[in-house]
Amino acid sequence: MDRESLNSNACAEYNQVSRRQLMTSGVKVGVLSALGIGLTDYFQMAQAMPKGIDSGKATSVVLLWLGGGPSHIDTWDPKPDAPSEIRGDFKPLNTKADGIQISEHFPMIGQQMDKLSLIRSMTTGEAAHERGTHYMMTGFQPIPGFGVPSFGSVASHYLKGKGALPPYIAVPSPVMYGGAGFLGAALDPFSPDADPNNPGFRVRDMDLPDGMTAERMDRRKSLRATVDGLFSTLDKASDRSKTVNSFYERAYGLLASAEARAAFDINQERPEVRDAYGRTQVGQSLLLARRLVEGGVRFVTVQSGGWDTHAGAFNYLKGGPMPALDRALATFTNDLAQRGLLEKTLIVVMGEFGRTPQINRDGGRDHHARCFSVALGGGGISGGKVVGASDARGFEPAERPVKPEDLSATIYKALGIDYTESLTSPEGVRVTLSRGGRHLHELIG
Amino acid sequence: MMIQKALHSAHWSALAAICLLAIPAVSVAGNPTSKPKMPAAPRGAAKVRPQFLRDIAPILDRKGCSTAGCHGKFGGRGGFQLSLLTLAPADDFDPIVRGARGRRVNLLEPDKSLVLQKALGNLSHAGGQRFADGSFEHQTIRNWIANGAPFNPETDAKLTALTVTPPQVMLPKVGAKFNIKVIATFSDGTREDVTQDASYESSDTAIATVETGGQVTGRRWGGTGLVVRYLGEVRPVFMTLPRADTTPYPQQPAGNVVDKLVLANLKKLNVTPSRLTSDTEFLRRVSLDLRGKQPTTNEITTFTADKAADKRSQIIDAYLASDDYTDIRTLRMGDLLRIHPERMGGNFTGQRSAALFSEWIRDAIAENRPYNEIVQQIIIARGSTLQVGPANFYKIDRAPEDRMETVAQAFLGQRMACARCHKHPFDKWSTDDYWNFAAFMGKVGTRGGTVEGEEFLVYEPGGNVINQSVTGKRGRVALPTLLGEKQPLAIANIQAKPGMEPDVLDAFAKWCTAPDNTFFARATVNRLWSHYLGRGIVHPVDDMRVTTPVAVPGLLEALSKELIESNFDIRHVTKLILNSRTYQTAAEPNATNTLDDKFFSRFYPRPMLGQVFLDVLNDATGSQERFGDYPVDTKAKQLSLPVGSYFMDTFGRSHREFLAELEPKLEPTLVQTLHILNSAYVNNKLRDGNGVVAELIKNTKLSDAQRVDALYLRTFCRLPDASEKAAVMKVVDAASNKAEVLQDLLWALVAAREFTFIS
Repeated sequence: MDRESLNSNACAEYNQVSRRQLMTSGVKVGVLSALGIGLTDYFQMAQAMPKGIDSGKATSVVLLWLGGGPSHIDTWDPKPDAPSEIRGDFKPLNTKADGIQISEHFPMIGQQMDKLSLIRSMTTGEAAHERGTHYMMTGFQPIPGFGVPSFGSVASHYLKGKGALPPYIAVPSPVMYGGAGFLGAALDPFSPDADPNNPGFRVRDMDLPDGMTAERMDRRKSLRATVDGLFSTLDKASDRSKTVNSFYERAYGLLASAEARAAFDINQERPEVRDAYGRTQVGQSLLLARRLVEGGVRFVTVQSGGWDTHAGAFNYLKGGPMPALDRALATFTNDLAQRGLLEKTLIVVMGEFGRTPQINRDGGRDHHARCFSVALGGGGISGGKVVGASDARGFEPAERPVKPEDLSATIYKALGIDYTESLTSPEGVRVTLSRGGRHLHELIG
Repeated sequence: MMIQKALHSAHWSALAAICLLAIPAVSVAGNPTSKPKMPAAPRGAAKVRPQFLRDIAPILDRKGCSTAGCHGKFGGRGGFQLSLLTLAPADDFDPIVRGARGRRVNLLEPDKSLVLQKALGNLSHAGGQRFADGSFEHQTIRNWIANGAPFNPETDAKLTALTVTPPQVMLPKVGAKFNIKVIATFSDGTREDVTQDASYESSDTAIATVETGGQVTGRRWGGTGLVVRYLGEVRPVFMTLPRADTTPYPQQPAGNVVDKLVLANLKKLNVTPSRLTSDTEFLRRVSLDLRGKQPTTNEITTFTADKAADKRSQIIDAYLASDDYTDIRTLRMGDLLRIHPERMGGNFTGQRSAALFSEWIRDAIAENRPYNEIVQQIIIARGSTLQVGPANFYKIDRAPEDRMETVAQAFLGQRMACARCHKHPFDKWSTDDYWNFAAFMGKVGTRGGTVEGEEFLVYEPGGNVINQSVTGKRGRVALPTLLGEKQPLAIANIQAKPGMEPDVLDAFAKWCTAPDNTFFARATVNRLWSHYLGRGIVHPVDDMRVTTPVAVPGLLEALSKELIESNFDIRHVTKLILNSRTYQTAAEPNATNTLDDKFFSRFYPRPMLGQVFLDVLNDATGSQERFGDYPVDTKAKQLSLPVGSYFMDTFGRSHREFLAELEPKLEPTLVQTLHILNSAYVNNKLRDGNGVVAELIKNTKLSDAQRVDALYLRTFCRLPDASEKAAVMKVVDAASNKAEVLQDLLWALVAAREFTFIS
C-alpha cells in the first residue's frame, strides 16, 4: 500500500487495511506448508521444464494495482448521457482508438488507447476491500482457512526467472493477497519496500549496511561456512534446513550481480525520462517496473492507492491520482512500445472494484462490485478494443459479464500457461488455475 | 435437477473446486463388519441388464471420466459435467441421459450414443480413448442403453456396505505385491466382488503404487495409505514395508510409554533411532521449546557439570514451572484461537478484546487449569466482551458455520469446510453433518452493550441456523446434532436450571471436551506432540481423517489416555513427551534413517517462531529492544498485541488470519537471508555499544580464545570443537581490529543454521 493511500476520504475499513499493510509490509500467507512444498521441491521444479506451458506471447506481466477501487464512470467508462447525479463532473474525451471515450483527465492515456483495451463489464459482487482484493488478485473468492496463490506467484511457479533477479517483484510493497499462499514463501514477491520516487530510494537489504566493507562481508561469508560446517552433517537427511544455504547462495548471487543491481538502480535513467513518467510514486514505480521487466523479471505488481473516494471525489481525483496515473501509464505504455517490449509485456490496470454510479451526499462514490472496468494491453492483447459494456447507468453489465476467473484465464493464456491445469496444496487440495473461466477471445487468440 | 445444478454452481464458486482432496480418506457409512449373507458373485462378463448406480456409475470413476481434470471439473468439460469422482452418482444420470438434448445416449441406435463414441475414441474426445471396443465397459454401457438407459432412484439397488480387505498389510520387501479385495453389498441383498470396479489411489507413490484392479506394489521402505473408492464411499488400506538390511537390529533401551510405541514401530520398519542428544544439544532444544529462550552460559555450565542421573527430567520440571513456559504456551494458544485485534473489531475495541482474551488464557495456563475446562469455558462464555475474556472468542468469527469450523478444527482436529456445500469427498461428513453441527453455534446470541464497542454474549434458545448446502436438507432449519451422531440432540433430556431453557450450548461444550470424546483428546495430544517433535502423529495436525496414515500406531491412544487420566493436565503430557528418548534423540541421521521424515527416528530441525527468534537474537547479541509502549523489559514472545516488526513478520509470526494457519510460515526465504546479510537492524545489534562484543572487548582480562568461546556459548550454547576453534582463531588472530572480527564472527554464528534452527 503506498504512502498516499491513507486518505481522509477513504472508508475506515480501507484505512485499516492500509495501515496494516504499512505496519507489516507483509503479504498474507496462507496455509503453512506443514507437509512442506519444500524449497528443495521448488528448486527442482524451477529446474524441470514445467508442465502446462505452451507458447504465449507475453514473457512478463506488469499489474498496476489501483488500491481502494477507482470509479469506473470517472475513468474508463464515462456516462455523458446519464443524469448529473450519475454522470459526475468529468467530461468524456475521444481517444486515439475509434469510438472509445474515456475521462477528460486521462488525455495522455487517450493518445495510447490504440495499444490498450478495456473490459467494461467486470463483475465480482465482492464490495468489501479485502474480499474484492482477494478475488481480483487470485481469481478466487476468499476461502476460509486456505491461502490461494496470487497470479504473480502462479506465474513464477510456471515460468522460471531469468538471471539473478527474483521472478516476482512487488513495487513499492506487496499488494494484499499478492502472496504465494500454499505455494510457499519462496514464491512470495520480493519487494524493495521503498518508494522509488524518494530521492534516497534504496532496495531494502540490497546494500551493505553502514560501516561495512566488502572485505568484511567476505570474511563473514567464510566464517559462516566455517561455523556452519558441523550442521552440514544433517544435510544428507532431507531437511528444510538444507534449503537455507541455497538461499545464501542465491542472495550472494543477487548481491554480486551487476545486472540485478542495475535493474533496481532507477538513478541510471535520464532525468527527462524520469520526468516523463512523472515524479510521483506511481510514475517512478512504473519506470522501475520497466527496468525490472528488461532485467527478466516475470511478474511485477505496482501498487498505487488512494482510489477509495467516498467523499469529495471529483476535486481530489482530478487534482492528484488521475493526472499522476495519466502521465505514468501513458508514458509507460509508449516506452514499452518504443523499446519493443510491449508485445512481450502484458499490462493489467485494475483495482478491487468500481464505485457506485449514484454520487453520495458527500460528493463521493461508494463501493460497487457489480460492474466496473479493467484496462489491459501488450503481451499479445489487441489494443483499441472494448470488451463488454455496462448499462446506461454503469450499474450492471449490459453485455458480456466478465468474472475474475476470465481475467485470470486471460493473464495465464497470455503467458502461455494452460489455465485448466491444477496445482496441489500440501494438504492435497487441487486448485484449477482458473476455475471455470475462459480467456477473453476478443483480445487474445 | 437443472435448478439444483445451477445452485450448486453458484455455491461452488466459493469452495468447490478446491475441495478436491488428493489425500485419500475414508467414509464410514454402511457397516463394513456385517456378516456375509451370501457369497459375493465374482465379476464375469458384462451384465445383460446393467443398473445405473451399480454398474454404470463406477465406470465413470474408474475410467477417470469424473476427475477434476475432466468432466468432474467445475463446469464440466465440453458442456458435460459429472459429479466429482462420482461422489453423487445419482446426480450423474441427468447429464448423461438428458443433457446435450439427449444426444449422449441414443436409445434407438445405442452404438451411435455420444458417450460410447467419445469414450471409444471414435469421435474427437479431449480425454482420448477411455476403453476399447468390445471391452467390459463398452458392453456394459451399451447393454444399459439398449435396455432403454433405465434408472429409478427409488427402486434401483443402492450400496449399503463396502468391505475392503486387508485393512493393513506389511509387505516383506521392495517389489512385493498384494491385492486389495473390495466387496459391495446392495439394498436388494446382493453382494458383489467389485474389486475390478473400484478406484484406487496411493497417498505416497514413492512408497507404494496401486494399479487398476487393486494390485499394490511396494516401492521403498516406509508406510503409507491406499484409498479405495467405490460409488462415493472411501476406505483406507494401510501398508508398511521394512528397510532391507540383514544386520541384526540393535537392542534399544526400554524408555517410557512413548518410546515403547515409537521403537516398536521403528523395529518393524527396521530403522534404528539416531543417537541420544548430548547434554548441550538437549539443553538448548528443551530451553527453546519450553521457554522460548536459550540457556544462559551459567545454566549451560551448571547443567553439564551436574552428575545427577535425572538431571534432564529435573530441568524439564523447572522449565515447565517457569513464567517463560506460560508465555510460550499463551503465544501458541493465541495462534490457535487467532486472537488478534483486527479479527476482533479493530481499533481500540479490538485491542481491548484481544488483550483481555490473552490475559485470560495466560492466567488459565499459569494456574494449569485443566485443558478441557479452558475449552469449555471458551465455548460457553457469556457476558460482556469488555469484562469476560473468553466472551471475545465469538468475535473472531461471526457466522455460526465459521464458528463451528473453528471449534471443529482447533479443538477436534476435524476440517469440516468441504462439507459446507457437498459431501466431503474423502471424509465421512455429509452436508447435514456439517449444518447440524453448526446449528449449535446458532444459539450464541449477541446484544449491544452500554459502552461503545461492548457486546453482551447471551444464550439464544431460539437461534436457528439454516442449512445452506447445495444438496440434502438445503433451506431447512438445521437441528443441533453432535458430530458423528445420527439423531439430533434430545433437548428434552437436558437438565434445565429452574426457570431457564435447557442450555444446548452447554451440552455441546461438555460433549466437545468430554473424556470419551476421542476427537478432542486425540486432537489435543497430536497438536502438543507436533509442537515438540515438529510433526504430528497424524499430519496435518488439524486434519485427522480416519484414512490419514498414523505414523506410530497406538501413540495417539496412549497419549490421550495420559491426558484424560491426568484430568487434562497439559504439563503432565508435555513432561511425558519431553522425557522420552524419542524427544531427546539427536537430529543427526545415522546410516538407517536419512529417509525418515515421519517416524521420529531422529529429531527434525525446525525454525523458531518469529517472536522467539527475535528474543533469542537479542539475547545472543546482548541488545535491548523496546516494543511499542510495552515496558522496557518486555520480550517479543510476551506481546499480547502485535507490534509492527519487519523482522518478526519476515521470520514467521502468525497473522492469525487463517484457520489452517495455526502455525506461521516457518520457511526459509530470500528476504530473510538478505535481512540477516545486509540490514542495519541486525548489524546494529552486533555492534551495539552495550552488546556482547563490546562487553567482551572491554574485559581486558579475556584472551581472544576465551572471547571466541563466549560467543559460541551465547549462540550455539556449546563450546567450539578443536577444529572449529583452530579455524576461527586463525581468522581472529590475523585481524588487526578485534572488535570488528568478533562482530563478524558473531554475525557468522547467528546466520548459521545451528543458531536459527531448533535442532
